[in-house]
Amino acid sequence: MEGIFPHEVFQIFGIPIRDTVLHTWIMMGVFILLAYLFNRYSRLRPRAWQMPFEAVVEFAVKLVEDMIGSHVERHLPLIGTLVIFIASANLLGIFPFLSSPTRDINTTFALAVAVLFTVHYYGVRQHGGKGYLKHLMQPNAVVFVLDLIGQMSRTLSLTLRLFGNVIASEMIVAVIFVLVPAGAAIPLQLLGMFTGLLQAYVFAVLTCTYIKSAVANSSSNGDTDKTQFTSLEKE
Amino acid sequence: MESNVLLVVVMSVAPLVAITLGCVLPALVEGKAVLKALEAMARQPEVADEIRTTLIVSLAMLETTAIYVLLVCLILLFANPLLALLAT
Repeated sequence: MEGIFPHEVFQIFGIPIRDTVLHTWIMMGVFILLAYLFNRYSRLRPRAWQMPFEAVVEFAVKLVEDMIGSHVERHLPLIGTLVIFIASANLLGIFPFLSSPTRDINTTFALAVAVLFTVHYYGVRQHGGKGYLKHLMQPNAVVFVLDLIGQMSRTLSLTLRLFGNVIASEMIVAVIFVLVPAGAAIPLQLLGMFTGLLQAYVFAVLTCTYIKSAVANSSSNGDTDKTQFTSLEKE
Repeated sequence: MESNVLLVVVMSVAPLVAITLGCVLPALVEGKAVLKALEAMARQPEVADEIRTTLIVSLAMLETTAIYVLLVCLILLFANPLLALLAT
């Protein structure tokens, strides 16, 4: 049971490094290498190995198009990164000697805080500083105070949902493995993988709805330039 | 000694009761949400994709309450702050 909770591996200049951070770094290294190789060797007419990468990107593009609808290129980096990072972080636990970085509450809290600030960044970029403040106080100023509480609770719930799901599935697998060592944990492990992928999707969808509410046009000119990314696709 | 035994019993039973209630109630409500969504999908298959996305988001929201209960239970079982009282 002790192995589930993150523990300190070594220290750098007195800063303790937990095993989840180490595994995040390993994952980041693999992804940076993959991105470099993909940029170097990808072709306009894709070979077979290129297809899974494009499927991931298309999934993220479709998600942003469906949920936000406007400025797909602007919002794609955040959503795509969240989908790829969380999905692979949840699935990292199935490899031997590695474990999910998301079973540490600090990882999920960092993700949620990043989402919190980025949503406001997008809002300010869309409306301008003063306009965004006005957008937040839409009917009247009381809403602004309520909205502050809402921001806190949405960050907390993003944190705890991801953390709770991951740690719960890992714990169930560990308990079943202790009780029945041979093979009984495999279906639960599969269930954990499914939950991990679903949580990545949910995290991204929720981020999309937050961004949508931040960049939504409160005034009457509700034109959305959905054609922006499709024109890029045709090139 | 007697009070210690009582404390351990209470601390074992309390998470069990909490996790039972915290699983049953969200499961019932989620079942209701899925039922309604399936009915709507069967009636209007053309908006099925939209309903599915909304369903997943709202199920995640409902699921969060169960996760809160789970976290409280984990704290009670593994990182109980009240156990410090027992040691003194």
